[in-house]
Amino acid sequence: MQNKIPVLIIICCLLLTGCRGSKVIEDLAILEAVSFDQSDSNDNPIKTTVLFPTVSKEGMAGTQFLSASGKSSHETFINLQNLTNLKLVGGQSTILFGKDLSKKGIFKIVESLSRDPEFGTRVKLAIVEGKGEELLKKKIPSIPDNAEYLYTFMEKLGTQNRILNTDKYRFLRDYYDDGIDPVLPVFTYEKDNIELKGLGTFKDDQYISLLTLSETHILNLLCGNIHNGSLMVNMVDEKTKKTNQLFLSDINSNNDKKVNKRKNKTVEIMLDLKGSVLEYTGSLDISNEKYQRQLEKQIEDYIKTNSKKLLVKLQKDQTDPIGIGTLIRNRTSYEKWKKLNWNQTYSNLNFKVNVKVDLINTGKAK
Amino acid sequence: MMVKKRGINGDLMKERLHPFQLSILIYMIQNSLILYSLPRYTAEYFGTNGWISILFIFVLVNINILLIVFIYKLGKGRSIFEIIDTTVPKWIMVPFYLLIICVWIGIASMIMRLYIFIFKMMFFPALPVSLFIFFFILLSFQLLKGGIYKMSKAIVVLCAIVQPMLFLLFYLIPEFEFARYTTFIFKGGTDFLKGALHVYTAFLGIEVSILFFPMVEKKWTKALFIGNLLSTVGYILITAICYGFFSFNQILNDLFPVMTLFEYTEVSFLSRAENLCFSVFAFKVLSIIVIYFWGAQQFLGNMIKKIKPNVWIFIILSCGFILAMLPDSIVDVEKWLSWLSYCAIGIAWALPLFVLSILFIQIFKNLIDRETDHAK
Repeated sequence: MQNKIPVLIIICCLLLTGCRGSKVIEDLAILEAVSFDQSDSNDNPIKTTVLFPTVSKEGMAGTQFLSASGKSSHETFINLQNLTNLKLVGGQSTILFGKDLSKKGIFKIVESLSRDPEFGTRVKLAIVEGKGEELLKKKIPSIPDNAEYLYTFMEKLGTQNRILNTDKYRFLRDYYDDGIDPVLPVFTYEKDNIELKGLGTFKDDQYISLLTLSETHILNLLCGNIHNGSLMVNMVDEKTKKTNQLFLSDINSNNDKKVNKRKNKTVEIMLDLKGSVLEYTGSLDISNEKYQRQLEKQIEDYIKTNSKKLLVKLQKDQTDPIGIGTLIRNRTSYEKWKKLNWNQTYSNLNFKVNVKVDLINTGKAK
Repeated sequence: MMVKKRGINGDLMKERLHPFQLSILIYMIQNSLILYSLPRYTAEYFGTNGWISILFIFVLVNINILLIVFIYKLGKGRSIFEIIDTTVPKWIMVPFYLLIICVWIGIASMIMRLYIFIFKMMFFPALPVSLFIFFFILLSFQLLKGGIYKMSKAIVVLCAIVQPMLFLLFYLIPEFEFARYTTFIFKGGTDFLKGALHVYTAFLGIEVSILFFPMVEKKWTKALFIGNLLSTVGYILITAICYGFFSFNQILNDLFPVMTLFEYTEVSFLSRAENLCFSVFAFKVLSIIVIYFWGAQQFLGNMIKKIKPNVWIFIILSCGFILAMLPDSIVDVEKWLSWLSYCAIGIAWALPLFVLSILFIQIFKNLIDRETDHAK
């Protein structure tokens, strides 16, 4: 056939396309983690630290750090480029923000990262209590590669906890949405380990406050439905004044929210929670059905009071990670929503939390 | 695929386009490169829930198709050149034909160049543009040489490669939320007319079917509607998913939301699928380009019948190559493309209306002639 030769030429040429712009992996510094901190100098306010894996001639794997300051995130990358013989390229990495920088706002940096096609949408973002640079440089004997550790840590968190499942896409989505504020996990390196400290809430792109781990769990319940979650409940025994612990596992919850416009804008959050008890340090005999009902009541009270506390804290901080704004936006007209002074409305909202807990079982022991 | 050889009235034993083949051809030749930014255009110009606008444009496109169908029915399958030539002298039509040819070659080149620009920006910044254009032109030449019948066969195969990408959308369902749609419809939009024109360009390509009359089987017209419906379903599906996947302002701030959409899909064996999707999309772009070149070739061939088709193909492709080399930036290409698209929309409506009015004149004349014959 006469067509064969041109087709053959095309196929051969297509195979050649790989020859141009080749990237040899030994010459690349594939960024595993990048941290952005506020630097001490006023001229170059951003300090960037990158961490990438290296392989020595003997075949030993290791990591290398580089730090540089600059006026913008990409200027620091250019400065970093002058510190190494390798070519810096982005990858599926973890991006850390130091506390001071995140208090000032991180949108400009995240935006410039999303302009760069090298950084994917699934890049993980997190805040570091202190300096990101120090977290990356911290030597922990049991952890050979801090960046990889962090990435897998955050992947695990994402599967366990809906609200801790954060990446660049989710951050930008909630940042741009006018009815919800983004959140990012907060890590700390104070002790001998890299540790999750809690959840950072945002107003626009500024880090506002830290929610403790127990608050994070409550927030997780308030945000949406949960499959296979867990919750540690601290209950105070009224008679002995001692705190008892109860560990709820295999939680499946249903979350429903309503807005009552008439009564001074009340938002009603209804939680329907099912779980099994794996630990209980109190005095009740939980194999008895009567006491189980009592226990359910106590758990309901615990969630209710703590939810209320959390909601008040969020209102005070003016951040809305639950998406109450979305709820109200979808129940008002466009003109009203645009005219609405959201900050004021949000602080004046009344919340009502209804919780229903069902204990499915109390574990293997009687 | 089995295709029966048959002709109208059994006189022409030439191969003709099967309706199924034609539906897929129509689906493939619609300008879906714009799909990658369609969510942004609808959001920008129509505002919240802008994806609904696609439905309205779908109705408009169907009216456009109806015009073409009327011409086929009233003209009893004659090609539009036959219809025009019987009433209007050829030399009057030449400037109009030239205009159509220029717009079609231009639009094909600009679509090709836009695709290459995006491809370069996203994946291969170091590759030379001329190489890309050369490949597109070479492939177009191979397809054009075979004529419309072989082209449509090849396009059916290309379609089978492009379509499986749609299944990747299932992996985005966990991130999808209806709350992001908002309850507002068309609020915060800027310019409905401009928006409608932009959305309409996504359906362009279908107007070339006005040249298909001599090459099709008798009951082919339904294929036009089916092909257009397929495109619309695809557009609405992807755009609507974007509105539930991204927040509204996020769509406004992303140049190619659909690219980001596919970028987010992660399967255990595949991550950042936008790379694969967009590369495979080249086949769809190729179909669009080829059909416009083919349309231009038909016009040229009709104007001067003595010259061999291959010479025309060569001339058209050289023009296309040079035009595609001209623009320097994405902004340039988009500006050119939008102007050419407006012209193409004009052609898509004006050409059928013009032919239809000629047909009415002819029918009217025949009626008068018959009556005068009768009177004699």
